[in-house]
Amino acid sequence: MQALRAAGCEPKDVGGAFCCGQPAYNSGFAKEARRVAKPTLRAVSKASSGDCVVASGSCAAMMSHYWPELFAGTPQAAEARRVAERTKELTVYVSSRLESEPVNDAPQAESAAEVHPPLAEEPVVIHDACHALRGLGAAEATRRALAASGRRYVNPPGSERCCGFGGLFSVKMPDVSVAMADEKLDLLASTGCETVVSCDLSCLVHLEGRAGRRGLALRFEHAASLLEGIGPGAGK
Amino acid sequence: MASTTATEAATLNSFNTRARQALRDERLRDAVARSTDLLGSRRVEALSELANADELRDAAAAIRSASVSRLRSLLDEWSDNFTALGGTVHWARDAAEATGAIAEIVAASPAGPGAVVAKGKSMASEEIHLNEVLASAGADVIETDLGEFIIQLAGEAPSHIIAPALHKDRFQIADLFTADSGQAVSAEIHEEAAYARDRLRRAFLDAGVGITGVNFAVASTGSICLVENEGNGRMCSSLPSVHVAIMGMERIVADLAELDVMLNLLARSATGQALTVYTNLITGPRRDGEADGPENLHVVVLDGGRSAALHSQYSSALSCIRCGACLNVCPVYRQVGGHVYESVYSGPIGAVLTPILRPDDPSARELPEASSLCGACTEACPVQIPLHDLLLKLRLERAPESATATRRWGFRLWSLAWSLPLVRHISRVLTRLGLRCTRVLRRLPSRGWPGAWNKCRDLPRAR
Amino acid sequence: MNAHNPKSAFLTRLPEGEATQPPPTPVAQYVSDRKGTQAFIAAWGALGGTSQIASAAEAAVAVKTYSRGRGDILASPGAVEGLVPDLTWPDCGRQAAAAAGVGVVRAEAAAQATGSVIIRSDTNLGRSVSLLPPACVFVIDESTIMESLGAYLRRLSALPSQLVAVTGPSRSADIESTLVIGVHGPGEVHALIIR
Repeated sequence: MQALRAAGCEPKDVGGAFCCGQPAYNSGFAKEARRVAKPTLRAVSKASSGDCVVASGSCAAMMSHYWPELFAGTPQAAEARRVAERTKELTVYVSSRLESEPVNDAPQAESAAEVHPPLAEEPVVIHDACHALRGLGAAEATRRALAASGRRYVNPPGSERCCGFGGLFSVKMPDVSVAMADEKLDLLASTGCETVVSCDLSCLVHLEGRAGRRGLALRFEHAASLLEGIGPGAGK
Repeated sequence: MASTTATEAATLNSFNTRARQALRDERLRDAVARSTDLLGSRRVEALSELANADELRDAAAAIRSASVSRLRSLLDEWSDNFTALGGTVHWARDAAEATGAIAEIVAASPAGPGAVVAKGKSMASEEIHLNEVLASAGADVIETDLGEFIIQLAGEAPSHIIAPALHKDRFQIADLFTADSGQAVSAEIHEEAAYARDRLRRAFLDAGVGITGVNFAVASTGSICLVENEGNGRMCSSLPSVHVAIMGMERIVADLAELDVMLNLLARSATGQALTVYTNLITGPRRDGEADGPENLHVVVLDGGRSAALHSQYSSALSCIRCGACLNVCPVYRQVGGHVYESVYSGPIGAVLTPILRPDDPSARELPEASSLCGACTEACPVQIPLHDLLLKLRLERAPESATATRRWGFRLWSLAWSLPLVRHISRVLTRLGLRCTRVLRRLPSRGWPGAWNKCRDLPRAR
Repeated sequence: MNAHNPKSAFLTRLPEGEATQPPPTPVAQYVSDRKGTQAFIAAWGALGGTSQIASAAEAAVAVKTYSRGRGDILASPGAVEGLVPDLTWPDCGRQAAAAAGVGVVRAEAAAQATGSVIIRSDTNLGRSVSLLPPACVFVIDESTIMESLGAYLRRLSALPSQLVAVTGPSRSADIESTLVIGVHGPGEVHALIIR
């Protein structure tokens, strides 16, 4: 919410929104996914007819890509299509706001190197979440939004590779999932950064859980918490 | 139903069991990561040499889906043209018909049922387990692609569509070659290749029958196109007096212009080459005035579950041109390699194709679960097969009947509970509370999915 | 259709398919700063092929010079005017051909974008000459060097029993992803471009 306010928006909390149904849907249980997603769909479409900003890449992808399919042939079909069109991932949304309405002093930097002066001296390393990266085109947006917030960032090697969360994949095939996380963590740590930033909370929970168990000194932050520095105060 | 669910539970465990074994094999994981990184980066580089790569990819996707949707007329046209040139077509609805037809061809060849059969790389032949059938009929079948030769000696299955022996290192290969020759073959890669060249050259010259796969059939000309790097495909299709090519029935294009589009993408996507070393376009058997080439040319067209897939929501999987690009970018394949899939086709395309082509095989049913649905495969596919969406569709179609009872009831109860506002509220409060007591929760004994998380990962902390 | 006919029995299982517009078949555009013969030589060379430009009168000598130290010359009749090869295909027979050191064949065309040489089974009385010896000379008329294999395929009217686009020496990377040259086909390939 603060990130959105910092970007000059007046967000409204959707009280009844709870779960998009993805865990059940990705496991093959469409009926159950619909049942869980329906109250969220209702709440979102009742709350406002404006953009629906979601702070989790995979939830945003579920709502914008799969809800129309999930609700197809039900009384909520049209509603789901409308909400899908309005759903935006947070960093994509913030970054699009930056384009249309440059925020006061925030630098319009294309790359981290051009950002001046950095808000925090220590650069962060970005973890691209797959859904955000491939489904929503958030890779550019996350970087632009971070740059605008005055934060320096680093791209890790193998940045396009999945961290191994994959929802229930992480518990159905835990060994493969953890092997994927380990490789990802090693690549993130190889950058020398101490803070990992992503626009997907679920990737972060997975990576943080594994890093904690391995005793790695990495911190994990959702991009939203860094974007709070965006706006009039950025860069000071 | 009870037996199905029990089987599903057992097989899911078995994928995990096999994966655990593969994960312990550091040598295997290094080899897979190294090879797939190399192939993957070469693919990107090779595609960048095309000024209109995106346009070609769109066209290739359109060409393949158009072919798949009008297979009946394309196959009809192709077979009329091919037959008019003097070729013989064998229509095989399943593996038994295909292997039966080929065994008959071998038996009727001048060298008879005990013929030396020189075989080029063919995924379709792996599907029908051709070698076992021919060997039991007395033929001496020898794989001539270097990678296939290695795994034939090892008695294993290919672990990658285009790099079948990717999982073997040169020391293991030296042992296999030494055992094959009865003389020491050193673990020097060039010497190993030289050994294979000499050994297989004899087989080519002795072979009574050559067997290859088919990359594309061309309907308008009655041709078959075969691409390869080593020259063994040329040998198999040129030297023996009988050449048999096995083709999955969907591997067809309308004309040479369509073939050109596909050739521009196939090798680039597979190995990062602009074209493979040999692009063979074969149009009928030897003709008058030619001193070599097979007198008899046969093509076995294999259905093998494909026609059923055509009528399903998975028909786009038949667009596949077997380039292996999806394997090279798959993070799951990267960790465990190809054998864990226990299927001719591994990686994302294997997880899609295997359950489609073998709907009754319980061990194929778990494969769609072997994906984090990250979408890297879909992004890499040169013919734009929506692989991760197909994996999801397979789960959606099959999970409600075939999942374990625990899982079905779990999702049902969970969804019913979370459709109640009060329960959602309580869940929220409990989650907040739980996030503050992870130290305690972590100590609690846990089984199933929570246990799977807890075993090697910490619980989330409060933010 | 007759149900006892295996072809009809097979095809009737397939959907009829709608009559759709044929899909587009764009021509590949290649990123390259070179054109013509030099482009071909560069692409062929990058794959490990060697080349040389000669006049028709110099061709026979060029083949002899290239073959020195490589063993017997096996040529298809008329591959190079004035050349007297050690072995002539197909009279020499397959065993002798397999023991030759250098094969000499006439190429139909060459493609500059990919560094490919196009050979046909009808012009070389078959397929063995360019396949069995460890080295191969492709005699290319410079005027037949064109942009791509696609350009050749698109203007083709009649196909021989075998048409091969040869793109470099035989190779394999099946052992530890390490490139090995000359696995089954010729490991040395030479383009003799006739001006």
